[in-house]
Amino acid sequence: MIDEMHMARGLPEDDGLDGDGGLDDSVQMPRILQDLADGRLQASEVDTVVDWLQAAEDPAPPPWVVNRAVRIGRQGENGQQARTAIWRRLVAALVYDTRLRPRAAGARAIAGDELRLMYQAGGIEIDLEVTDSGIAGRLRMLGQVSAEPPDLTRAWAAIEGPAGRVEGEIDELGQFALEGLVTGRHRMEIGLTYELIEIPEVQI
Amino acid sequence: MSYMGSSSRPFGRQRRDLVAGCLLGDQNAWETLVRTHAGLVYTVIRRCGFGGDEAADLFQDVWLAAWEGLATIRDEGALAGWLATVAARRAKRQLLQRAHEPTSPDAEIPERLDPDPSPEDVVVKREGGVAVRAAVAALSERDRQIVHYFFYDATTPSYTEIAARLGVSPDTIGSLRTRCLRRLRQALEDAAPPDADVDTRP
Repeated sequence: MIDEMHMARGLPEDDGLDGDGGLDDSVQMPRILQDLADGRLQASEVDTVVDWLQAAEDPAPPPWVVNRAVRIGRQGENGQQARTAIWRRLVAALVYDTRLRPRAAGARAIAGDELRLMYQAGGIEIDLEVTDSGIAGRLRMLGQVSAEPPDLTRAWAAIEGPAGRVEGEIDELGQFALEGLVTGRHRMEIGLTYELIEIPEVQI
Repeated sequence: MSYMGSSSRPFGRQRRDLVAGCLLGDQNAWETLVRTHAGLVYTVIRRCGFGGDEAADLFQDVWLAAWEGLATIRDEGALAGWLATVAARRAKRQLLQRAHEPTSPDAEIPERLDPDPSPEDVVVKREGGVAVRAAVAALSERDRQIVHYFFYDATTPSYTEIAARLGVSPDTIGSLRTRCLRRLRQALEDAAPPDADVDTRP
């Protein structure tokens, strides 16, 4: 009876996990959510659970988490399949920062004053260069990702900071440009075909 | 094209347009769908004990599944329930995988509900939502017990265990739950602030 209700409403059918509604003692989650997962609730009960969850006022997901989900729709546009492979999520580490090297004296101090940063994650290098933008007070970030072409299909770079979120496509050479940034603390994501690289903090 | 009305919760015709738009590849529709239901999906994930990066990855996994399965929704009025079900299934699968993996001493310790459940009336204090607190408080003591066992008890008691605690036959738990949820829904509606969204779910 309950299964029929689920079918009629198009609710997802059980995917073979504990399909008989039996329990695995190793799984601890609220009983009602386990019943929801197992398709043991009637349609009206599902609605009540949704009302309860929506009224719970639990913490909202971080914006970057939501934006990542929004991006699924962009990957799937123009009839393309959204990326369904499980991403390998990597957190990049800073390995080079021009601000940390000894300051040059004399004429050398004038030239080459742009900020350069390099991050590494899982054998992939992300080279960033920050320069003045054409707009006063704004910055431009040029980047290069050392990934191979198969990993660069529909690749993208996104940065979130004081100026909001800026996204750009990564070309087949691994290059990208992000415009209109301002000084401050940022968070970056590089979305490749098989990896999602996070740079939790980029100070520019 | 905007899919958002004056509230953050699309309903009725808007919701149908939303799903249809997503199926036609409309990015705005998809973005509205995600942003409108992000809190619901994330709440399911967190209440299953996930936090931090694990919650973020699971959140992404749910939306990938939603993207792939949106065309199977036959009753678009059940969209929120469908998403919550997908989230609960993915969370359960993750919990099963975790349970069967060898634990590492460096493994991230997930956020968990209090393993030592408090008395039923503490449920009301623990819950963050004003409307939920008011709704649960308005229930009878018996219903509060049922809500506690089903919604908050981190030990995930079986139906047999719940029946034993309530002193009833396990055969009656299903109907007890159904009646309790009916009263909870009414209480949630009564407890909702007057300007709250009215869902026109059919």
